[in-house]
Amino acid sequence: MFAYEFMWRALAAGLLVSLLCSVLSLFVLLRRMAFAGMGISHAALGGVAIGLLTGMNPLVGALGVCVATALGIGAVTRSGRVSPDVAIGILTSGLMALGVVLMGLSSGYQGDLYSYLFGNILAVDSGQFLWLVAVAVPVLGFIAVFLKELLFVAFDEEVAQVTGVPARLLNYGLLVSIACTVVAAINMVGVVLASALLVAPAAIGFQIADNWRPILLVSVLSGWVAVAAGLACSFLWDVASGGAIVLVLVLQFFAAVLLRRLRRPAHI
Amino acid sequence: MVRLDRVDLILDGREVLSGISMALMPGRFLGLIGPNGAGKTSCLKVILGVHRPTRGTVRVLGQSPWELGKRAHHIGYVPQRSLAGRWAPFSVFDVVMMGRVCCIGVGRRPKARDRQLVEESLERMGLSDQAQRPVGALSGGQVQRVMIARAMCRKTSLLILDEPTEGVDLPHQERLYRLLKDLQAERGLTVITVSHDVSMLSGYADELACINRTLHVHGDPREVMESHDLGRAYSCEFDFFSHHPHGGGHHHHGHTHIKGG
Repeated sequence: MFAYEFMWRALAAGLLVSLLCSVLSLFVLLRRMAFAGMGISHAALGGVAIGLLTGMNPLVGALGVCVATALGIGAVTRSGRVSPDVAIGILTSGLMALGVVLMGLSSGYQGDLYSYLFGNILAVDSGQFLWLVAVAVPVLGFIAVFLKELLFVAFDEEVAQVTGVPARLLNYGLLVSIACTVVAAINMVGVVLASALLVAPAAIGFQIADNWRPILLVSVLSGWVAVAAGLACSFLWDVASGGAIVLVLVLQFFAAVLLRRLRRPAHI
Repeated sequence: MVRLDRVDLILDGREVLSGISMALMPGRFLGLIGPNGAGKTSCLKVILGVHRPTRGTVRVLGQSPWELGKRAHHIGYVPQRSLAGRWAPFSVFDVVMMGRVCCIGVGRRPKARDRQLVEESLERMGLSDQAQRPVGALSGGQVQRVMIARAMCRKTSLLILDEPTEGVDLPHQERLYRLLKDLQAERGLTVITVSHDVSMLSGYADELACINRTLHVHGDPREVMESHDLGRAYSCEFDFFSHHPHGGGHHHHGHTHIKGG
């Protein structure tokens, strides 16, 4: 199957997106931000619709809306006036509904809508690959530079802040990184399934290991296995690539749960 | 070391602290006591710079706590119920190394010197053999010693603890207070500890301050324990059994009849 250039490109894009998502998923689970991740990814649909209707790149629209949603979630969480779950639920379902309404205004976008909802990594072109690299480099750079500070804030935000770590800025940085990563993942698995990539890899790691280092390693490896196996399934049996990748991840998670049960009681 | 001058704090429209004035000299051990919901933790958070007072001034190490910059490294903080109900994928060594994060610098990895300081801090707390264990696998008393090791693995001159003995069994509570007392003597450390276990704390603290929105009484533990203001702060009468670290005990007047608070 690797006789085709598009397969190589799909594999490279998949491995890069998966690396991004797997690294971020560690922090999503540590900070218990799975719902925020899902909210941000669903809000992307509103941005895609705005992009399609106004003639700009839909991914640019999605990036704008996702970043704004992420900053909104950060502000609401900090204010403490509205429960974050309620705010995320209302804000993001509203933006998704906006996307559906805007898409419905024109019947010409139905094909596009399907690809943005569920992704098609086999159709990734060179321009989209470059877009991916442009997102991946700053996000991975942010995590590499602030790794120990992000871990400290994830474990004990108040103490980190008291000892001079800029916890609030790092929280916003993490939320914006999630927003950028969601947009990068849209080509691969679409708006609906992007949140799975932000949760499942580290969830697998948490079942296998007790320390964040092996968890991170397992997270990245399970993401890569899902991309390779999902692409192979998609090529061999002509099934949707995004769905196949997420299904492989979910199967790995249940295998990891089973493995943990055989060894010791589960934590998450 | 710490000075509060007529500090008021209003949170969510509720007056939590009112007209608190007190001073703590370097090297002293202050026990901050008061009933539940009295504002003890809020008072600590004002000292730590987490809350800005609505009125009044706060000075820590000679500066406002939110203007300390790098001098904030001199403050160690052990929050209330540090690991309550949580599981985290960090070893004991990882958690203590977090105390060095502000000293290592952004984008840098811990050096041999940082690892050595963490190991020394763990050894001082009697936790060397636990270094590679997951922090969630430790007992309540051990977790608190990990948090103190994290707070002490730099040039800490002020250690602030919020209910450090909560969820810790009695022998480990005594061990914890003895440890704080030893650290105070060894390093000239200033200690502020919040607790509602007055009898245990009074045996170790150099001074007690009783808060219930306002500062009711502040001074020598024995005088505070015998003060009528203490009963008023708790809205009850007391029968304290003051614990003494070197054996023996000291009974104070009153009854163990709690009317409120």
